[in-house]
Amino acid sequence: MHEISMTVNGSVVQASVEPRTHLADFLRDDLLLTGTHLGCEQGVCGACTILVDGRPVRSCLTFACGCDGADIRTIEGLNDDPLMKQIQNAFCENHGLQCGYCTPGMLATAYDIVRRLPDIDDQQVRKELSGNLCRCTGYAGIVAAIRQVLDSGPENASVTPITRESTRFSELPKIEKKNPITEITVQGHPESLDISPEEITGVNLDKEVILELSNEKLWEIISDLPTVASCIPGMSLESVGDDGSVIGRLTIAVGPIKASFSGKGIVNFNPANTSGQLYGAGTDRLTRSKILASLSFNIEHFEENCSKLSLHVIYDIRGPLSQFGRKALVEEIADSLLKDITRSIVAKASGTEHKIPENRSFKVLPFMGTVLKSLIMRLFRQKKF
Amino acid sequence: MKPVSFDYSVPENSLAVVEHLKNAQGTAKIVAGNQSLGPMLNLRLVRTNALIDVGLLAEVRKCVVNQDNVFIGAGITHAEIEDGDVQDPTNGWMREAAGNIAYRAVRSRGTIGGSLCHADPAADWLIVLTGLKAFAIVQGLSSNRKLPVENFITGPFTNDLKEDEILMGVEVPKPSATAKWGYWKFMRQVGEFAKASAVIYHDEHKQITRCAIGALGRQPLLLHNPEKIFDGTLTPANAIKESLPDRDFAEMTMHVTAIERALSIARNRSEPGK
Repeated sequence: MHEISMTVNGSVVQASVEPRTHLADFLRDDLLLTGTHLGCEQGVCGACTILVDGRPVRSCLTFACGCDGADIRTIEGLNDDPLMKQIQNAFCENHGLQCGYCTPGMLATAYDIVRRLPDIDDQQVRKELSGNLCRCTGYAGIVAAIRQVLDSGPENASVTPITRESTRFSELPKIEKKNPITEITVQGHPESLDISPEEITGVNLDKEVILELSNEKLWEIISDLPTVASCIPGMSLESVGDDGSVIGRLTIAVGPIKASFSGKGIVNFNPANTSGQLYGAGTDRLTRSKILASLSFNIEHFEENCSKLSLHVIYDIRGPLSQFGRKALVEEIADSLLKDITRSIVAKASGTEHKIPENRSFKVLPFMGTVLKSLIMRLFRQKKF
Repeated sequence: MKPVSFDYSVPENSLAVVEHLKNAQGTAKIVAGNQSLGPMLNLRLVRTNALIDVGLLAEVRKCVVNQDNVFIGAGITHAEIEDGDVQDPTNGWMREAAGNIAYRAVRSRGTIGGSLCHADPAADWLIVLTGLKAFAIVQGLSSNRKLPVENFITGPFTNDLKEDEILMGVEVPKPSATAKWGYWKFMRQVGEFAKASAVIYHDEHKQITRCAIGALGRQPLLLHNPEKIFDGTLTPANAIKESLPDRDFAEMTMHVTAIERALSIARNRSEPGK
């Protein structure tokens, strides 16, 4: 627990809070100031916007323990503020609210707009309002309300930005032998695979890579699932079924994000034209995210002693992780991962080990992992033949 | 939608920060504005044993105006840059860029150093500071170092900081009075992460020309032959093909247009302060 002292709506509040309690929860649950609304809790919707040290902030992305010494002003604390009164009246007159859920955040933002930017046009009002979502009234009434306040001359604001300095310092408790959180292992069985590859839709990714290996040798490695799996950083195979199904896990770290996908897939190999397909689904219980993916691959001869591996991937990430599954990012990670994998495969073929640099930004990539998993699955099935 | 439990500390100075980091052995994270880390913590995409709050740390909240450059502390917020509360070495270019980061409520708390360290490939400061040829000032337990911003960011969401180092701030060189600058980013909606972005910086007096593209998935890419891009002898399309031969060119059309618009801004405006 962490001791804090702050001014909330003009009154000094002292409390002991858990570090992970964000300001909105503290205000609502501990101080019963439920005028602050919570929508998304990830900084997108703006419903929880309040004034901290006179500036609009997301109270869901502000920890209560970080507000020691702060001046907090919620909607309840602006009842007697002439500017807020004027804005509220304008909202009423212009149908600037309907259900009222976004309204406290809209009012805090509107307060900041009219105080900071008295000369802006409607286009700029809309730009400044872009961080607050309204799902019923629409924005026309809200913009009209702000316009009315600007045109009639805003009243003086009683709350203005101030700069706060730290006055109370604290140490970290002695680190006990806690396991690093990144090493949490995920237990449990992967969910059963009840999809067909045709049902997997989403982002398409095409990759080609040239390997200094004959296509026969590359096929030999790729069609041996355990060998291919060992070339994929973060990949581990748990079991290979008689039906071409594979169960495995892929652990990925991209910057601060860690995910460990546990999943199942089906591999089909087509030795006649050295191609194959892998599809599957995986779940990461740490981030409660799911991935569906299919991977088609094809090996061709490319110049002397070289081969070309072509990959076509379709992936669909669902859950919290999907917000970070931007295609450009996935592509970059895929490229880097592919480099490591191809080096490993080439090294394996020549009987040496390719050591993957430990300090890599991405040890394995979830999306690519699925792809690789698919590959592996294919390999397994090939072995069955 | 709540973070996992963690310890929290407010160190008194930067030395205490690096000591905390060292003691934590990789299980603690530095936090300032919490505008990028916060959503990830709330969504539990990131789990940490401890947060070290440097949001109010005096050493990273300062700004020092030198003869040729300005040091901007890592803890200076986007809003403070937007509002001109700290001196903008570029006489307005940085203020303008700051004003278009996310939303005002995010800019109130998000910091320039936090944005750099977080290293989201689509973030504004990554490409803007790369374009301006700025330096990252890093403090470790026993020594300090200074490195170009393009070397500080090593990949998506990845920086060059060691386990016991902290970014103290950025050193932004002052452009000459006749320097030209253009920055353009495509967003599907105001405040969202850029889909494509580009900067062009041409300082004839200092003999610096830089052109970078961002939102690639990796760190911003400085294009080859920026002088030719600026003087028009190399088209943006060919410049991208030259610097990124492996990329499917069809996917780079937004970046081509971003460069064209940045060029147009730089040529038609853009002496510092205009």
